[in-house]
Amino acid sequence: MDFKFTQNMLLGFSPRTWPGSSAQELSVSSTALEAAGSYAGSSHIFEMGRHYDAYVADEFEAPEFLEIAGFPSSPFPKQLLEKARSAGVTGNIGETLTGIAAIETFGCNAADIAHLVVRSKIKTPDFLIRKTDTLELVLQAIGVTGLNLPDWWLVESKSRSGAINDSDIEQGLIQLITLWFELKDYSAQDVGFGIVVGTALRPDREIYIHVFTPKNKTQQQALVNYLSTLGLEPKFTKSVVAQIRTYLS
Amino acid sequence: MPLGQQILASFSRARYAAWADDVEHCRQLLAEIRNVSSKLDNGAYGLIFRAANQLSERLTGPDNDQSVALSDSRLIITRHLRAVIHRIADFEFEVRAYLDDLSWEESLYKRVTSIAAERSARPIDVAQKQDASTFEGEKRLRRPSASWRMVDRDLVCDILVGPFGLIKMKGTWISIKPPRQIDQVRATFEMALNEIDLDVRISSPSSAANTHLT
Repeated sequence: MDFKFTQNMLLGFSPRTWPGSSAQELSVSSTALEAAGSYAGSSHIFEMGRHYDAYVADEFEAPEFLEIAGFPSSPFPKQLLEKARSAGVTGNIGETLTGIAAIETFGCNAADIAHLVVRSKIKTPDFLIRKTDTLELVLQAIGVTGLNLPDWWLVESKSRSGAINDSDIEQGLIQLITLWFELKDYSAQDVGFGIVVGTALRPDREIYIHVFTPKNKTQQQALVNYLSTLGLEPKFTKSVVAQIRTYLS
Repeated sequence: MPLGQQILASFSRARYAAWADDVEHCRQLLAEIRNVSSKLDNGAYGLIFRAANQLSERLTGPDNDQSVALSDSRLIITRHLRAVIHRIADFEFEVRAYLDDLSWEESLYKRVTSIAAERSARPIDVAQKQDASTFEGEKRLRRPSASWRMVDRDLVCDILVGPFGLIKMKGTWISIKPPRQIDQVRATFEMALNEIDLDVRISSPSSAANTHLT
């Protein structure tokens, strides 16, 4: 089945007009998920395409099979009415959709994006993407100016089977902050930049692309300085995250 | 191509190879990345080296017997693609094929669109991808996912092409008894891949045309 997701672009947590007019709707088929899900998802799951059909479809939405006389239009037993969705499967679908949204929205070719997660317990962004011409145009369009844009962008995925909210996205931001904390000592120019893609599988099928950047060069340096005051193994508590957000757009 | 970008490309190919279980090729690519890692400052793409090291550790870990090599008969190599045949049930096979020459991505999707338009039982949805470019003068790759079916003697083969240049082929053997040897299924999968990658097939794995890190 093909499902259409509405994409939304945000600078930090502030909604922005979609940059451009024709690609806000992202159509993703179960074929795409089946072919790429076992690559771009972190967990090992068979038959991702069929999971995608079941996890993203509405309860009364039947798969559109090629017609065969005598077969009902809705052949699947509605297991999800009595069985819970697995968070692992939802996460895998979300990660794959994040990769697809990144290549489609930021114009990445296969050579511009890498899926980095190998061991889930080690701090690693889900994807690393190279700054493309399209990414630069998107950033300009949403009002990112006056910064030295890094060549490499960290991308985190957050997905929920239902609606996704700001606290979910903040979890993704904390993952970015954890990496910025490491980068501050040897790659300060990359600190403060990253993308969190939040995916709500249903009921409305929405993708929220949150682009994080420092407010300006001064605030980027202030962020690096602040991270340096946090000790060797900081806890990113609500107050610490709130302080870090003051340096970001 | 700048070295950092080459490293990202090599890492992506290594991840694809790991996905397909093309273990030896994955190891070669990771070794190439290791050899150049000292030449670079550790920017954000230092994260690639970390991920490459983690992948290497997995491939050399206790769960991976390095003495068990992938047999040539399971490996299919075309000019731009590599693929490994897996047996997943008595009568079911799966091939995981990937783009090993990333510069061929646009051609891959053109070929796939053309084959699917001719073979697929469903109309391929390319219309929504045709206007994908959102900025004036911008050229963006069209990457429609596509699938089609091929029936060759006793093997029914569903070919699925998705994003990232990945191809999955699912084969179901429809005879009462399973095939006697791998060549009986390999021939069909190889034919399907050669149809996608029309360039001359490479016979020896060692002669594959790849971009090496320098």
